[in-house]
Amino acid sequence: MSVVGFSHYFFLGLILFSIGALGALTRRNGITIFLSIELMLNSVNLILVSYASTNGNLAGQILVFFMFAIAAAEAAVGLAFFIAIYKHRRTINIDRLTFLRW
Amino acid sequence: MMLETVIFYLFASLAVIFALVVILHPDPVKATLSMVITLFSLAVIYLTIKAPLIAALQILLYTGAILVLFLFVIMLLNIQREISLPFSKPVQLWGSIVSVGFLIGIITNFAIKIKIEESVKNYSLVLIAESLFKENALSFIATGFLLLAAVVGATIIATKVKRG
Repeated sequence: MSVVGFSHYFFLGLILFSIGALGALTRRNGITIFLSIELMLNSVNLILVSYASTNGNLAGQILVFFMFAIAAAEAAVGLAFFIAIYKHRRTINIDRLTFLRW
Repeated sequence: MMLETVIFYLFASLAVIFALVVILHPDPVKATLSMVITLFSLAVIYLTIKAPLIAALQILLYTGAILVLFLFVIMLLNIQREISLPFSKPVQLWGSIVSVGFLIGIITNFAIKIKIEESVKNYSLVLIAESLFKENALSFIATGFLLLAAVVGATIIATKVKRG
C-alpha cells in the first residue's frame, strides 16, 4: 500500500461513519439526515477500497463500484419521497412528520 | 514516501472537518457544499491507495450527480434553516451517546487486532473491466435493472400525488 498503514484508513472510515451516525440520529431536517447516511456509505467505501488494496485483491473495488450505483438509485428514490412528502405536508422536518405514528 | 503521509493526513483532516460541518451547519445548502469537499478529499485518498477508477467515479457520480440532485431538491423545496437547538431533545442526546459509544466500542475492540501483510499491486483499468464484465456480469446487468427500477419509481413517487 503506502507508508500509511491500513489501520489509518480504517480509523478515518470509522471516524467518518460515527460522524454520519451522529448526524443521522440527531438532525431534524430530512435532507441533512439523508446527507449523513451518504457520509456513512462513503466511509464504508473507503474501508472497502483500502482493504482491497491492502490484500492485493480487486473484489473491494468491484463492490464499491456497485455501491455507487446503489447510492445513486437510493438518492433518486429518497429525494423523490421528500418531494412527495413536501407536497403533502409542506415540511420535511421529521418532528412534524408523524402521520405514520399511532 | 514522506509526501504520501503528508497528503493522507492533510486530506483526512479536511474530510473529517468538513464532515463535522455537514452535520453541524444549520443551513442545508452549506452542509451539501461541505459534503462536496469531504468527497473530494476521499477521492484524493483513493488515488493514493491505487484506486484511480474509484476516485474518478467518486468525483463524477457523487459530487457530479448525487450531490447536485441534493442541491436541486433543497433549492426546489426552499428548506429553511433548522430552528431547534442541536441537543434540545432527549432523542438527539441519546443519538449522540449511541454514535460516540459506537466509535469508542469499535476502536477498543477491533483496532488493536489489525495486522495485515501489505502487498503492493497496481490495478489497471483492464483488470477491473475483466472482473466486472466476466465474473460479475450478472451483477452488472442486475445493477442496470436496479437503476431502471429506481428511475421509474422516483418518477411515479414524485409526480402522482393527490392533494388532501
